[in-house]
Amino acid sequence: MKRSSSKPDLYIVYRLLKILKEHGPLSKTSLALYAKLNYQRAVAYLQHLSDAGLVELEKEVALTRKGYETLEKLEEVLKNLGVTHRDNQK
Amino acid sequence: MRFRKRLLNCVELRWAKRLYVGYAVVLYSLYLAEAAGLLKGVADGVAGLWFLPALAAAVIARRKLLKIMGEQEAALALMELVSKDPYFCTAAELTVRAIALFGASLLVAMVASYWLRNTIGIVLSLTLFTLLYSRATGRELKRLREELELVERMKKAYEEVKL
Repeated sequence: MKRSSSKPDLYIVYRLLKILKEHGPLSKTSLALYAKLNYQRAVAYLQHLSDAGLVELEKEVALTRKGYETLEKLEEVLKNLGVTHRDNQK
Repeated sequence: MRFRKRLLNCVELRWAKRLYVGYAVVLYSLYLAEAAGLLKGVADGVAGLWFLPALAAAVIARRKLLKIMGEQEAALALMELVSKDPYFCTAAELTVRAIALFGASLLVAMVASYWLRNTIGIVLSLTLFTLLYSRATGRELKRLREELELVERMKKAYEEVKL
């Protein structure tokens, strides 16, 4: 996501949501580090996710119920396409 | 299904298309400039670099793929590409295969022309191309059907999850 108006990349959205699910609430800096994203880029994504109601941006970043549901939906879609967690480790 | 490999091919083909369009525009402009007498011999030099856009596309695609971690992210990235232009990658891949077959049959005809008369060369290359193409098409049809089914599934999946 280079400009604030452009559409976010779905795979980065998935990465951020997955990290938040696995680690719980995190600071923006930690989240950017875990996601291997540049801080500015991570903040732009988080703002987008917050606008979409998928995360709560306070002192720390946390997943909302809608965020959990979106992540589950993404995982279900991936499962239907035949991609599993195990494929990532290959 | 190896989504990472599919994504790499798809990104590479998209960049190759963009770069070759740019290359064709530059080449055409150079030929026009030469025809107008403004330049001399540059267009032929640039034409000799026909492989550069393909090389650049391969490098760009590999660099882009470095940012994607694992099969799941690759599947999501591919889903986004497919939603923008559903059949581009399938069509482009088939075109590339046809060009490769044509090149191979031309090469065989060129080699054969050392022993045969030159006039037979064209006939031989066309016959070889037709033969190879029909055989390859037959073999590829099943894969193509699976590919198109996957594209449809990805398009549908993207509609479900797009933000």
